[in-house]
Amino acid sequence: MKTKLSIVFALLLAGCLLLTGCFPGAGGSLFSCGGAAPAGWSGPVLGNDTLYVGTMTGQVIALENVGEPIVKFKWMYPPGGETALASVYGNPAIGEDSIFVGTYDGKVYAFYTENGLPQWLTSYKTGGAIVGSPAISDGTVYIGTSQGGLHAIDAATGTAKLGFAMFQTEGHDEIWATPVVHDGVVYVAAFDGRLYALDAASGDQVWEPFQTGGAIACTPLIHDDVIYFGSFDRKFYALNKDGSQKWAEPFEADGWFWAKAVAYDGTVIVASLDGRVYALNADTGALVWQYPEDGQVGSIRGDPALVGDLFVLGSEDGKVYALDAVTGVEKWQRDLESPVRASLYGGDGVVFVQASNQKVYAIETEDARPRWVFSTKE
Amino acid sequence: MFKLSRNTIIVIAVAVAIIVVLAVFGPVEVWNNVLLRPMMNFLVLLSYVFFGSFGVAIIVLTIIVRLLTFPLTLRQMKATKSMSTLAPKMQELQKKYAKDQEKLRKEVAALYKEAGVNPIGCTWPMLVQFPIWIALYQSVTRTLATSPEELISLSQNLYSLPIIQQSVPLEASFLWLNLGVPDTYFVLAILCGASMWVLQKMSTVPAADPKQQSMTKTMVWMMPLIFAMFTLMVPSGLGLFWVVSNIIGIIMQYFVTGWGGLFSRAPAAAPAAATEQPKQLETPLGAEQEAQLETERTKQEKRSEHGKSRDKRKDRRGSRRDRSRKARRRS
Repeated sequence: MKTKLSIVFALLLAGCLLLTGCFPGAGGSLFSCGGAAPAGWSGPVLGNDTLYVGTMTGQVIALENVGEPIVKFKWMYPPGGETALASVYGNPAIGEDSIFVGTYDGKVYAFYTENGLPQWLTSYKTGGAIVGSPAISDGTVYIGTSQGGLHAIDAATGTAKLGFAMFQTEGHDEIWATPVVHDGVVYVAAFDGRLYALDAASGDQVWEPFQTGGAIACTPLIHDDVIYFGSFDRKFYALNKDGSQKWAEPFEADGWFWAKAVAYDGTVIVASLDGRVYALNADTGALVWQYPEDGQVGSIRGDPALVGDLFVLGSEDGKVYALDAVTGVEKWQRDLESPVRASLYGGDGVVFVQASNQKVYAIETEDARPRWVFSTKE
Repeated sequence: MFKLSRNTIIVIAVAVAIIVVLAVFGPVEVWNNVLLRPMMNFLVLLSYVFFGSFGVAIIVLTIIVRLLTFPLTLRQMKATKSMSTLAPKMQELQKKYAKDQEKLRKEVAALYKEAGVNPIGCTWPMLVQFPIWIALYQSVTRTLATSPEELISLSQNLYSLPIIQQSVPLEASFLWLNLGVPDTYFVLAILCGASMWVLQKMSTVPAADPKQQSMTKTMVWMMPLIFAMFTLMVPSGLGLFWVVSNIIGIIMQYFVTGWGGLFSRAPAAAPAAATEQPKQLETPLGAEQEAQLETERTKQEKRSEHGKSRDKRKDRRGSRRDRSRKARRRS
């Protein structure tokens, strides 16, 4: 009896110590336990009037009638009752008649857009957690992993092209950024702070990797043969096609760059985790406007969307903001009351977004009114 | 008029100040900005200084925090040590006043007063250190940032110094470990369990009560076992922190109390031995404590020797007086 009591006491004591992780934590609420578990932040993508998105419960869903006031559920994988996939961080990539999704357990899946059935016999196993989105070019799916491998997968069969990994970072540093394929070159950034340019056919490096001062998780934007990307060194770079720097000095913010930039009428607009949006002159890197002029909104991680003249972004403070892309003046804001970490997708007069409350919203860009809200929990 | 001592006024003032700060800024803000964020940023800075090695940063920060809290630890150890030296006398009192709890309480209080020991002295340094340890524990887990969400959270808590911002994410590999995931080779779990067992054995205060003694015995092996199991489940960065912390604890304990109960056997039956000499009553103490007890014993013997000779002198003087009185009466 005494021994039993002692065991209970010891367990309680040890439990208390572990529960210290449940004390008020930085950035968390009171009694938020330890760090956040990987839940995912997949953004929606639109193809053939169907919206595809990875849910925070490890499923991929397809929604129809997204242009109408009432959205229609099309399919879900895995179907109800079956074991869910691992967390999905990247956006689905849309191919000819299938979509591709990477999961946090390192697997890549292909589903038919029509019915959501798996296209490949089995999923493709990369061996490293996947955070970025897949990129598709010429029947090949490119995807980076946390083991530092860039994989080229045959989109039709789900088999490896150019060996198990077409490229591997030296120190197995993570590739969380989405690769971008342009003119036969795959541009990919890694946590070793380097931007690599690889020949899409052979995997050879086209030029010496460009080294920044911090890790890179930002997907590069290629516009007018210039590569724009930001780094955790808080700098935003512009490179020429040969890997040389375009601007005299990179632009420097107060926080990391994670979101992909967008190009608009001679400017490059980029959001930072410092909670600000910067519009830079595409040729010189000079600051054109900044939002907000004073202070900041919540951290901006997800890729923003450009809908007409509106630059729309989601923030960690749970709000979606729409700014005039020319002036940076705020047009509207919509409070979703839940952090927005996923990338936004701009449609025709509407922007699609998934918030951390597991709801997908279609917000009218005209008046910020939600056209519909779909809960992925149900 | 009710009069407060200077120390009491200081304690009350500090308590009021803490309450006001907590009420104004909120407990979460105070916790984050006073303890957690500075520790997290310091951990990142150390990682930068030690060539990007987060493992070395964890070790160095644990050593620094241990050294900073050393005065408190020392107080706690000394207070525990003093309490242990009083154990034989306590046993005697417990036996003597087993039926009179009120009297026992008074006698125990008198014993503490006489020996200059404050029983709360063992507890308060530990209580003061507790938040620091929680913050250290949290800072290790949060700075590891094993998931993308944690990395976002970490970014929001970093100071805007370029070297800090650029050092994240931190290098997770250290020796054979990936600090972000549990150690699959069991080495860290064994190290954690073994070091905790040694520390527990060294620091355990011998209990007079057999029930308490049984409980202490179970705790000595149960706690290391539980922590070894936890080490198999949590990221190895946290396991590394526990191992380092235990090793530093062992070193500190050695310099204060020696090996303590590590290399000696516990008494078979404490109550039966209660009437015997303190040396046999106690769980054998450290070499330093033994020496202290021996010195006290010698002093007592000297005192009693001195007392006896004084008594003899008194007796001699008394008998001389008696003889002279008798002689006066006869004359």
